[in-house]
Amino acid sequence: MERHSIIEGDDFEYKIVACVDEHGQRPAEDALDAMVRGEWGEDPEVAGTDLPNDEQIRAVNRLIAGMTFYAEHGYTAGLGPGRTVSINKLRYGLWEFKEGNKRIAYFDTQGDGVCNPKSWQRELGYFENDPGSKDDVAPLLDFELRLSHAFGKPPLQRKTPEQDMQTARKLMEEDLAHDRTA
Amino acid sequence: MTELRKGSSWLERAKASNPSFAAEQSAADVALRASVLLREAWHECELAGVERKDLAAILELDPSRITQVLNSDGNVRLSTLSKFLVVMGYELELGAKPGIEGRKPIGRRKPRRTRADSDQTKSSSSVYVSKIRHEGATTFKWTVFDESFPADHETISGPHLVGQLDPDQEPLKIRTSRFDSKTSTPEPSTVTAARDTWMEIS
Repeated sequence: MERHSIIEGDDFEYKIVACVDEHGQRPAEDALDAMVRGEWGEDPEVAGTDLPNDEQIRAVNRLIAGMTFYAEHGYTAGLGPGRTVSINKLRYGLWEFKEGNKRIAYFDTQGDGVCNPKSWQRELGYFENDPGSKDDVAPLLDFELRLSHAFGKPPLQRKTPEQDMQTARKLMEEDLAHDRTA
Repeated sequence: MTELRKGSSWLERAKASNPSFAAEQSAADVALRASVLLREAWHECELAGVERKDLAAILELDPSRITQVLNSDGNVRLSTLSKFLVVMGYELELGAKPGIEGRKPIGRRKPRRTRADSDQTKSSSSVYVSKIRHEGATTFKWTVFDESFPADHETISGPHLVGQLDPDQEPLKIRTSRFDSKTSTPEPSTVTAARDTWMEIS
């Protein structure tokens, strides 16, 4: 079983990798392939339009830029003053990258078949010289971030759809099982 | 632990196979980084007690425009980004690295010449001549030493100092004196010579 690197760099904080399901498929990578072509049909922001959709391509450019920045620096570009948070914490150790209504759930692991859930670190000081800040700070995750499930969040819905949540969790478990049997 | 596939990442492959995507992705990356610069610079300003109206006054803009730029996605004009950073106490740096094999680096400062390099370029050289008689003909060997070379006509056996080289001209114009083979007396003259060559005097 071969894993595919999605985003990586020589001195990056994290490596982003595609999750592999029980059949050896990589659903998140397939979704990214479709997004890059503007042909991802689960995108609520292009519902009712003809595909390929140029706006979807531009949006995925922004999504990938945010993922790359996070992988490189270990914090999201949106955190801090004037932030537009580009990651959210989900459940079961899962997080999500987001751009508009496009979401990609991910989890972190050391590659040992386990994901140890982590939480926001509400630390004093997002910047070292800013002791008064109370911004949430992304926790230090394990080195590999694995993309499990890409989904479109319905407009005006605050909570992640339960079906997508369970799909993301199932993919995480299937992926981690590969590590345990390797 | 399972193994990662060797080679480039999905993102690198996507860029390589789709130049249009690569271009748009680069633009998105740069815009994101610009927005981070603006936000972090503004955060430092806030800590220092600077207010938006202060920036607005300097830049002669409406405070709402200041807010608009500081909260933007970074896709602002380069001049706008530069102005905002400067008034917030930072200086924008630009750079580019080769993205295709074979492309030379651009925009890099050339290696600075050292004082020694500069002096060497500007310094003149001394021209020495040695007279050699052979089978009835008289031949002169011209030897050129840089001024910094630790030698002079007294330490070089035989040759006579006959003039100075103009370092800025090629072929070398020797501002020298014509060497009179009979009297060994230099006479005012100008000759053209390559360095360290043999010259036949007819």
